[in-house]
Amino acid sequence: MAMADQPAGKSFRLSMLLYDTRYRSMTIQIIMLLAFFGGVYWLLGNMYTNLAAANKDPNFSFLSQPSGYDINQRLIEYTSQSTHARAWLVGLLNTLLVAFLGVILASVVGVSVGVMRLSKNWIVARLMTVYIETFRNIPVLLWILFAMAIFIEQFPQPKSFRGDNATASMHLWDSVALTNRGWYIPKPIFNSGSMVVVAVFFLSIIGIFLFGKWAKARQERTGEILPTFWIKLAILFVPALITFFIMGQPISLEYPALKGFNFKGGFHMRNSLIALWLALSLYTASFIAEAVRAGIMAINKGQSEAAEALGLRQKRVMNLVVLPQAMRVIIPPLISQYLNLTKNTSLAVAVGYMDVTGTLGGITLNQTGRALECILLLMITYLTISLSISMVMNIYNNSIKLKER
Amino acid sequence: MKIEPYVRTEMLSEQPAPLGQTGVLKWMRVNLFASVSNSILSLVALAGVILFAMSVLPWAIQPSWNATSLRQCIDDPNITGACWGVIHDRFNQLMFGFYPHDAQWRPLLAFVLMLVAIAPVLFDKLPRKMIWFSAIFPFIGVWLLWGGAIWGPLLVIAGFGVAYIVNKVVKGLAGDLAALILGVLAALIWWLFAVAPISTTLTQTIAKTRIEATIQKLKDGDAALGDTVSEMEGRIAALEAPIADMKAPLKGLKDAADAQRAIVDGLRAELNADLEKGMFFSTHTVLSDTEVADLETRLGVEDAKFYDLELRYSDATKVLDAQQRQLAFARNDISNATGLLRESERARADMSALPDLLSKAADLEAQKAKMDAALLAMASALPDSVKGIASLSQAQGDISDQDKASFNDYEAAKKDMETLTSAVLNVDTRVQKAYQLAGLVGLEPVESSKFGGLMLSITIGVSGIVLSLPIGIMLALGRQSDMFIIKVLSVGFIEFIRGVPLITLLFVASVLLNFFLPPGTNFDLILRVIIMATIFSSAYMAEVIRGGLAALPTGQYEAADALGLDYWQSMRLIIMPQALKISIPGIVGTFIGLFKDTTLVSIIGLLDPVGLVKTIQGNSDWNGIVWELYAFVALMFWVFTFSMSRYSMYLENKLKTTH
Repeated sequence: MAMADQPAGKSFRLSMLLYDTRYRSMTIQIIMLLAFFGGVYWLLGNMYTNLAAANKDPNFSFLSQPSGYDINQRLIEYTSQSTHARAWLVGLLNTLLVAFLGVILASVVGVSVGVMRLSKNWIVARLMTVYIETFRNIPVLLWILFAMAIFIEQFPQPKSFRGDNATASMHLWDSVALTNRGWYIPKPIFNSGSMVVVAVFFLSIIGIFLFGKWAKARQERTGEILPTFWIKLAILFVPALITFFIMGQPISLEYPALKGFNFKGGFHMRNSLIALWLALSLYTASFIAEAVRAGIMAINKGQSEAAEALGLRQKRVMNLVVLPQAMRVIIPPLISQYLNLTKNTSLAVAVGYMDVTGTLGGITLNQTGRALECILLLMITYLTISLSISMVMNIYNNSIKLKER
Repeated sequence: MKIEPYVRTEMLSEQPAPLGQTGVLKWMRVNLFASVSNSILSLVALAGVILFAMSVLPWAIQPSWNATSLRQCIDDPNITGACWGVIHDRFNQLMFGFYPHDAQWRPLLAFVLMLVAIAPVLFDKLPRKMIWFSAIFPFIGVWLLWGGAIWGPLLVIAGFGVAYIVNKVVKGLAGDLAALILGVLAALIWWLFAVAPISTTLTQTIAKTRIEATIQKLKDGDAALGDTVSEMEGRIAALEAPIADMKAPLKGLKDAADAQRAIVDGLRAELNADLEKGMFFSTHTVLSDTEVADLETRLGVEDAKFYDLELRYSDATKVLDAQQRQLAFARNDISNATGLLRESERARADMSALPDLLSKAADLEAQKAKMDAALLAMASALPDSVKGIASLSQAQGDISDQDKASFNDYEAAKKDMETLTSAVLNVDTRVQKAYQLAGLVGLEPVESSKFGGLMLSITIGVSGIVLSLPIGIMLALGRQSDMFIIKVLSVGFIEFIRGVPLITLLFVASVLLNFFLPPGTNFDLILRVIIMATIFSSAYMAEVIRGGLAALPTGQYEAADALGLDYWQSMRLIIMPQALKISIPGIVGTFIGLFKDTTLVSIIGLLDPVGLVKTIQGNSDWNGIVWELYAFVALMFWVFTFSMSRYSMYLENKLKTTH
C-alpha cells in the first residue's frame, strides 16, 4: 500500500527504517535480536563475575569422577565407584522406566474411565465422575506422598511374616510378598536355551502384524471378518509356550523368601517406584479420561446413528466408526498428558526414588557443588525427552489426521 | 329378537402403568439393571462404594476435634480413629504459616479484595467501571501482604501517569510512535531511577520531622520531670526535718521507760524474795500483810506508769516509721525520675545522632570511593610480573622480592578495602532501617520468610498468573508474528519452558538465580519463586492465548485491516478482546495447574501446606500423625480447584456458540 506513495528509485532515508512498513519489521527484528543478545550477554557476564568471585569456572570434568554414592534402584550396573555420568544415566533410565510404566497404566485406566463415564449405567458413570474430579483437583505431589504413606504405614513389616504366629502372609501361592519395604515378586531366571523361547516370542509379535495385514486384505477381498483378537492372542502365546516346553522349561522363577530380617531373592519393587508409578498414572489417567470423553462426545451423533442404520453392532460402531474419528480429537491432549506425566516424574525426589532429578540434580549437585552445570544438564535431559516424545506423537498424529485434499 | 348393539358410552378409566414402567423401578431398570452385565457392574460398584464407606467413615467420624496432642487421642477411649485435633490446633498455621498473628487481617482483606478485583473479569454482568479497581488491586495486594511504606505502590502507580503525560505531550510535537516509545521510556526511567529516591526522601523527611517532634516532646517531658524532681527534693527535706526532731524525744521516752522498768522490777523482786513457795499456794514469811499490801499498791502504780510510757514510746516509733517509709518512697520516686531523665537524654542523643550517622555513612561512602580509586591506581602501578594474578603461586617465571612486596602491599590494601566496604554497608543498612521504621507511613513490614500455608500457595499462584498474562499475550503474538526472529525467539522460549519440569525451574530459583544477577543482588526466595512461576506459566499462557487467537475467524483480522487500523490498534480493539474472552477457560485451567503446582515449593523448603505437613509431623505433640493432615490439605486444594474448574465449565458452556 505504501508502494504507490514511493516514487521508484527514491533514495533511502534513515527515517524509512521506522516509518516504512517494508523496513520497519527489519528494524524491530534487529532491535529485538540486539536486546536478546544484550540480555544473554548481561546474564552470562554476571554469571562469570559471580563464579569468579566464588573461585569457580564452568567445568564438566566432574562427570568423569567417581560419584561415591549408591543408588538403590538401578536398571544397569552401578556402584559407588562409577562416575557421575553413569549416575546420571542410571537416573535417566529410572525416569524413563517410571514414565514408560506410567504412560501405559495411565492410558489403560484413562481410556476405560473415559468410556465408562459415558456409560448408561448411572452408578458407574457417577463413580467415574467422582474418580476424575477427586484425582485431577488434588495436586499430584500430594497423591505421591499419600501413596508413599499408604505403602509405609499400611503394609506389614517383613518381620511380621516370620514365626509360627505370623501376622502377615504372602499372596498368590506364596510367590508375592507385600511389605512396607516394597513388593517382592518372582524373578524369571533365564537358563540356557531360553533365548530360543524369547526369539520365538518376538517372532510371534511380528507374526501378529503380518496376520493383521493379511486378515485385513482378506476382509476387503471377501467381506468376511475373522475373530482377529483371539487368533492374535493365540499367535502371541501358543508358539512361545510350545517352544518353552520343547526346550525343557528353560525359564524358571526365583521366588522371594524371608531370610533374616528381610526378603531375599525374587524381584524387589521399591515402595518409591510403586507409589510414584501409581500416583502419577492415576492422576494423569483422570486427565486422559476427560480427553477421551471430550473426544467421543465431539463425534456427531449422526455418525453413530448412520453406523447403526448400516446394521453394525454396538461394539463395532464404537470400534470402527466412533473411536477412529475420536482419536483425532483425543491425540493432541493425550500428547500433552504424556509429556506432563514424564515431567512430573521429577517429583520422585519427594519420595526418594532416584530418578535423574534425584541423582544429577540431587546428590551429584550437592556433592560436587556444581549447581550451574548440573541444572543445565538436567534441563537439557528433560528437554530432550519432552521433544522426542512430542516428536513421536506428532508423527503419529499426522498419520491419523484427516487428510484434506 | 332384537339385538341391542353394544355401544360403549363412557371411556374406561385410566389404568395405572405397569409396576416396572414408572417411578423408581423404571429408573433403576433403565439406569442400573438394563442388562445382565450391566446389573453385575452396578452391584459390584455398589458393593465397592459401601465397602469404602464402611472402612473410611468409622475412622473419620470421631469426637477428636478438641484434642491437643496425638497422645491425648490415643489415650482417650472414646477416640478410636482419626485425630482431628491437629487441624483445630494448627489451623492458623495451615492458613497463614508464620505470618504475625495481629496482622493476619491483611492477607484476609487482600483475598477478599482480590475476589472483588477479579469479579468484573469473570462475570460480565457487573459494572465495567469496576475494572479500574482490578487495575490497581495488584499494588494494594502487594502492599497489604508485605506491608511497608505506602509511597512505593503510590509512586509505581504514578509511573503510569508519567507515561501518559509524556505520551500526550510528545504526541503533540512528534509522531505516535515516538510518543509511545518515549512514554514507555519515561515510565521505565521513573520506575528505575525516581521511585526509590523519592520514596527514601519522603521516608527520611518524615522520619526527621518525627524524630524532631519526639525529641521536642522528650525535652518537654524532661523539663516537667526536672520540676517534679526538684519538688520532690523539697518534700524529702520537709520529711527529713521532723524525723530528726522526733529522734531526741523518742530517746528520752525510751530512757524514762527503761528507768521505770527498773523500779517495777525492784519492787517485784522485793515481793518475790519474801515469798515461801509451798506445794499448792505460797505465803509471805517476813513482811506483814499491810507491808505486802502497800508494796503491791506501789507496784501497781509504778507498773501502770511503765505501761503508759511504753505505749507512748511505741506510738512515737510508729509515727517515726511511717515518716521514714514516706521518705523512702520519696527517695525511690526521685531515683526513678532521675533514671527516666537519664534514659530520655540518651534516647535524645541517639536520635539526634541519626542524621549525623547518615552523613557519616555518606562520608564513609566518599572515603570508600577515594580508596577505590587509590586501589585502582595501585593495581595499574603493579609491576608487570605480578599483574592480573590471584595469588603469587599463579605467577609466571621468577619474581623479584620488590615485586613480591608490592604485590603483598596491594593484596593487603585490597583486604582493608573489603573490610571498609562491609563496614560501610553495615552502617548504611542499619541507618536506613532505623529511618524506614521511624518514618514509616503505612503498614508494618512483614518479611516473606514468614509467609506460609494456603496463603503462600494463593500468593504464588495468583501473582504468577497475573504477571504471566501480559508476557503470555506478547509471546502468543510473537509466535504468530511474520517476523522470523521474533517468532524464533518466542517459539524457543515457549518450547524450552514447556519442555522442562517446574521443579528444575524451582531449583534454578533456589540455587542459581543469584548467579545470573549482578553481584550483591540478593532478594528473598519467595520473590525468586514467584519470578520462576511467572516464567513457567507465561509459556503455558502463551499457548492458551494462541489457541484463542487461532480460534478467531480470519475475517476478523481482514476486517480490522480493511478498517485501516494498524497492528496494535487492531490487536487492542478487535482481536485481543475476542481472543481473550475465548481463552478465559484455558486461563482458568492454567491457573488451576499453577495453583496445584505451588505445592512443589515444599521441595525447595518453603512452608506451603504440604511443607507444613512435615513441620507439624516433626512437632513432638503430633509426631506420627499422617492421614488427617493429608486429608485436610487435599480437601483444601480440592475445594479451590474444583470450584474453579466448575466455573470454567460454566464459562465454556456460555461461550459455546454452536447448537
